[in-house]
Amino acid sequence: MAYEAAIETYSGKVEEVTIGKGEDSLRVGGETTLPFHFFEGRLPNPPKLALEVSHQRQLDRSEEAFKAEIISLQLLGTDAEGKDIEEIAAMTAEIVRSVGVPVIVYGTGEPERDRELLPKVAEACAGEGLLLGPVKKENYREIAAACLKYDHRLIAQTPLDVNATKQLNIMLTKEGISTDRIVIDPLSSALGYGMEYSYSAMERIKLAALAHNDKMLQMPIIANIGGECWKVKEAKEDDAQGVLWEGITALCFILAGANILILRSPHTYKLIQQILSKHLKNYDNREGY
Amino acid sequence: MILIGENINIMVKVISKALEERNPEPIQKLAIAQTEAGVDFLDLNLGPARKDGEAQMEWLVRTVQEASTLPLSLDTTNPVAMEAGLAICRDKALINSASGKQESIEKMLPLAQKYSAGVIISVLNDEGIPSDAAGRAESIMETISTANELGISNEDIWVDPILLPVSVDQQQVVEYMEFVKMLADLAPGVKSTVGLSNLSNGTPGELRGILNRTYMIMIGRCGQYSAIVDAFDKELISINKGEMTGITELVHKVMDGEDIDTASLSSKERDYVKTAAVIMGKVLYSHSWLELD
Repeated sequence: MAYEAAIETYSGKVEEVTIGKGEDSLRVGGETTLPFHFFEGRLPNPPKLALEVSHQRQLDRSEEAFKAEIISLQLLGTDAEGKDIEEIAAMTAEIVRSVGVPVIVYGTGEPERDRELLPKVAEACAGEGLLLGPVKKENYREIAAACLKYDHRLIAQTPLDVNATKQLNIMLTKEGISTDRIVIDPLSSALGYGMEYSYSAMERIKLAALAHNDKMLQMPIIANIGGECWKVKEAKEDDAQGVLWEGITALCFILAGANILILRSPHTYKLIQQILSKHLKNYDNREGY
Repeated sequence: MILIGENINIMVKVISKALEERNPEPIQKLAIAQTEAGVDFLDLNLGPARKDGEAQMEWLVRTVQEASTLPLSLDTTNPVAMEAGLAICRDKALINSASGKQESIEKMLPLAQKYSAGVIISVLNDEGIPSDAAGRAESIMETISTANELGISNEDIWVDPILLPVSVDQQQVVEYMEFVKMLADLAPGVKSTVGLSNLSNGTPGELRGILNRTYMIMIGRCGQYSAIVDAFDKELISINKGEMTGITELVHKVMDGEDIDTASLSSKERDYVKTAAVIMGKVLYSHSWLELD
C-alpha cells in the first residue's frame, strides 16, 4: 500500500499584524498551519527576531542591536534613574525615529505605572506603528485608547492562562482594537525555569487559533525571553553558556508557535537567524512541497 | 435530581458568626428558606472544624432540626465532629464526605456503617484526583469494595466524581460526564452527587448560575443522581422540576452535536446553547463566553 502522509487542514488563520511604518514596516503572523508545517498550509512570515536595548544603553548607536530587524526598548528600570514620564516618552520617541526599523516598547510591567507611562509613549511616538505593551487586565482601557488614537499595536499579556488570554483579547476588541492590532504575550520563562509551562500555553493558543478557529486567540504570539534567559545562574556563570541558554529557549518557542522573539544577546540573534535562514526558502512556498 | 442545599456553610460570614455566638436565628432562617425553596437535603458545612468541632456540629444539627424536617448532609473533614452530628440526626443522614484516602477509609467510612448513614465517597485518593474517566473508575472501585467489606451497601454510597471549575480545566468537565455514564455499570445501585457550584468557581458572580444550571441538565442526562446546589437559584429548582423542557431539550441537542439555528432562539435560549457549547469543550472558555457569537 502506498504511503499517505497525514496532512491536517486547519479551519483557522492567524492574523497578520503590521508593525512599524511605511517601507520599514514588517508583517508577523498570517499562518494557516503550525510552525514549520510547510506541507500543510501557508506560513507567509518567518518568525521575527528583535534585539532588546535598555534605556541605560540607548545612546550607543554602534551597538549591534541597531542592526536587528526589530528593536525592543525595555523601559524597566527607567524609574530607578529618576526620569519622569515625559522625559522617558521623549527619549523613546527619539530612538524610535532614528533607528529605521520597527520598534517594540515594553513598559515597566507595573500596571499602575504603565497606565500613565505607555499612553505618553504612544503619544510621543504617534504614527510610528509601535508594538506597545504589556497591556494587562488592570490597565488595558487607558493604553488601548492611546493606541487607537496614535496608531500603534498592542501586546496583550496574561500569565500562562489561555482562558485569561482569550478574555483580555475580547476586552481589547470591545475597546475598538481590531484583532490585527494585537499580539499575545503569554509570558515566557527560560529553559529550566518553567519553559515547559510557557511552551504548553503557547501551543494551546496556536491550536485554538488554527484547529478550533477561535477568533479571539488568532493573534500572533511574542516571546520576550532576553531578560528571562540572562537572569538565570547558568547564563550569569558563562557568556557562551548564556547564548546557548537563550538560543535553545528561543528555538523551543519558535517550535511552539512564537511569531516574534525578543533576544538580548546579538550572538543568540545571529545563531537563531542562521538556523531560521535554512528554512526561509520554505516560507510562503506551499507549492514547493 | 435529588438536591442538597449548600447554603449553610461556615465560609459564609453570617454563619460562622452565628456559630461562634451560638445564635440560632440566622441559621434557622436559612434552613427554613432552603426548605421552602424545595431542596431535599440540607448540607451543614463546617469545613475542617479543627477547633471545637464536636460541640459546633452537635449544636448545628440540633439548631437546624428545630427549624426543618429535611434530612441532613453533614459536611466536615473532622471525623469526631462528624460522629457527634450523626449520633443526634433524626433521619438517615449523609456523610459528606469520605474518599479513597487511607485516613478517610480508617476514620470516616466506619461511621457510615455504625450509624446506617449514607456516605458520599469521592474519587480522591492518596495520589490525588484522577485525570480521566478511567482513572476515576479505578479509584472509586477500590474504595467501594473497601466500603462493601465494611458492611456498607451500594445503595448507601453516593459517589462524588469531583468536579473542577470549567475556567480551570474544560477537559475534566467532559471527563466527568463520561465517568457518570459509566457509573451505573461499574457499581450497580450506587448513587452519585456533586458540588455543582464548583463548576463556576472563578467565574464572575452574575454568570455562575447559568453554568451551574446548564451542567445540571447535562449531568442529569448522563445519569447523575443528585447535586449539592445553591438552593436559592430559582431557575435551577424550576429546571429540576421539569418546568423548562424547552431549555432542557436545547441543551440535549448541543450535547448530541446537532446544528442549532440560533437566530430563531430567544436570548435566554441562546445563552444556554452557548453555555452548553463551552461545557462540551467546543469553545474555549472565557469570562465573556455569552457575548461572543
